[in-house]
Amino acid sequence: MSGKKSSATGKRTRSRKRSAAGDRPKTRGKSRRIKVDALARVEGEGAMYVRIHGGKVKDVKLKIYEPPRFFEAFLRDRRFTEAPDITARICGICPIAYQMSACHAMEMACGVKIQGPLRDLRRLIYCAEWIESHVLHLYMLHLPDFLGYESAVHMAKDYPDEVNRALRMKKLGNEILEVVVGRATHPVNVRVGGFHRVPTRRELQPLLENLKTGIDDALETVHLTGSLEFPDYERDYEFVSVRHDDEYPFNEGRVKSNKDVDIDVTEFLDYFIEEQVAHSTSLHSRIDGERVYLVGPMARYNLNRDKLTPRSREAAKEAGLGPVCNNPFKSIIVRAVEILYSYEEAIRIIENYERPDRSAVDVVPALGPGVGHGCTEAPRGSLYHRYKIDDDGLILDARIVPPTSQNQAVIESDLYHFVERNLSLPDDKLQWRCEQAIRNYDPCISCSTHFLTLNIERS
Amino acid sequence: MGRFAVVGVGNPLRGDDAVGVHVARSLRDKLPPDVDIIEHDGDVSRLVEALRQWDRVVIVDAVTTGAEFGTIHEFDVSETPLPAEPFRCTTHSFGVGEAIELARSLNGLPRVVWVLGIEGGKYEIGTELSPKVRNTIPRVVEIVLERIRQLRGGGFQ
Repeated sequence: MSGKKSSATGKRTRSRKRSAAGDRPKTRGKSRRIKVDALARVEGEGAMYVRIHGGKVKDVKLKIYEPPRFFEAFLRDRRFTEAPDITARICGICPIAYQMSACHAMEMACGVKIQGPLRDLRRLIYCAEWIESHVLHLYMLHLPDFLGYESAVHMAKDYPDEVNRALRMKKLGNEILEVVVGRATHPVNVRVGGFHRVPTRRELQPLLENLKTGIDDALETVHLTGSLEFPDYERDYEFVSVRHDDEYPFNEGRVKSNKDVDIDVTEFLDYFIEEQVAHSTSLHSRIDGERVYLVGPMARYNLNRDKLTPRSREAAKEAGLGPVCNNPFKSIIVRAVEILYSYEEAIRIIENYERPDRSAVDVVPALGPGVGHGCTEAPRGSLYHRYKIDDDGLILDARIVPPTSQNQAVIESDLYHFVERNLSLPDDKLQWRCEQAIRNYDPCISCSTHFLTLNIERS
Repeated sequence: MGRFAVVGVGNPLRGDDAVGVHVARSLRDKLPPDVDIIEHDGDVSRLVEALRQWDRVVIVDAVTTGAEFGTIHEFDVSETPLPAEPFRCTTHSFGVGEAIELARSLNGLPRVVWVLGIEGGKYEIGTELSPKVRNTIPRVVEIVLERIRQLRGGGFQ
């Protein structure tokens, strides 16, 4: 092991490998303050602040300071057909999720339901987005925490095979998107009702071959995550995810929790209440305005494990995941399992694909104002859209509830409990673990701003 | 695919961030066919993949060092990393500097890599370069042509 230890004040030294031992806690009196002013390895910009006084955690704040972008406001008076392309620009990592939630909401507002090959193609591009997003987070942002490196760049010198595998997998996700939706970032081929153009079987064939040969990469990824060491940390969470009767959820289903939530998508805003908090430009969301909940891979797995393929379920078991995962650090295994599932599902879809005669079905606004809701499973969790449109198809009102804003409260409560149980750790090690605890959620600050930096204060 | 490449990195819709892309476009028809001209959005995984295929590369990107707008910085990163801070202006906390170091760690860095960094000032959404940055483009194009002549070891018109 070499290199300097990272300091607790937020400014990182560029050490090759992180210190495993760390310094003794710096106690000024009984007070400790841990501060990270700009969190690394998260999507977007935010900060963390923890204040400890007399051996108790007094305050935890996940501060999101990216400026709000007012998407909901400038959607007004745009045509209902524009929502998928406008909202896709909220996020460069998960544009498909935005397009899917927008399309489903608009189709509901117009009384249309997409079935058959068009529906399957939507699942296919969602597979590609999960593969890309999960691989990026798992290998490049999260794995360095577990292997003790400052960054993926430093990790790559000692783990070139793993990093090359990640690049290969991400490339495959890109290829699927390029074929089906025109390009890997900012896709252009999705529309309300379907697609502008649908691929031929022949165009999908090379992807099928790459998925079949590449599935070993996905299996290796699950094995790798199963071999990591995890902090002994479990909590009783309320998990929320879309659940569908027949399939692991992407686009469609009821919104459920492991407690008592079991609702239709149209009831979403009746149960999930958003509120402003002073320290964040992102809204916080709670069930009934009170209960903190968790969305994302862990929630999906815990509510939908029975819908995984036998192979993915078996791989999860071999990697050490039980029927329920309550350790957020193990979300890295769940992501790996979801990558494997996405490979399998993509293979199934392409093998069964028959090119439809029409690339989209007609979607026409109903007479009188219509309301549509869409809740689909973005890589980071449930993404809800609601629109009101008039009979000319102009958007009267838009509401968007992204996964990271829903997870802010649970991230803060995780930090609170985690710090309280680990007060004996020195500041630099505590800070590292706190950052890791945030990265368990793969927070996408860009999406939620409507995001990150870290401060721990001991007094 | 040629052995040589010029890679203009940037987002054409983010003000001065687009300067690398503009330089790449200005180089069309000015370079021999064994030199690839690439416009790149800076996505790290794709940039690392791309870098594997060439032997010698010139990368052009916008930078922020605090120098005057339009200042041209030149770095030979074949053996040593870029100074970290100036290239941190890209979103998602990864940038050209990380892509180069990731490629180096994976033994995927071209033998020679030069980076031309143009000091930008405005990165707001929009397609306009600030005038001082726009005015550097002919000079940057000349420098790139000169570097490519050196890298290829022969002249061209």
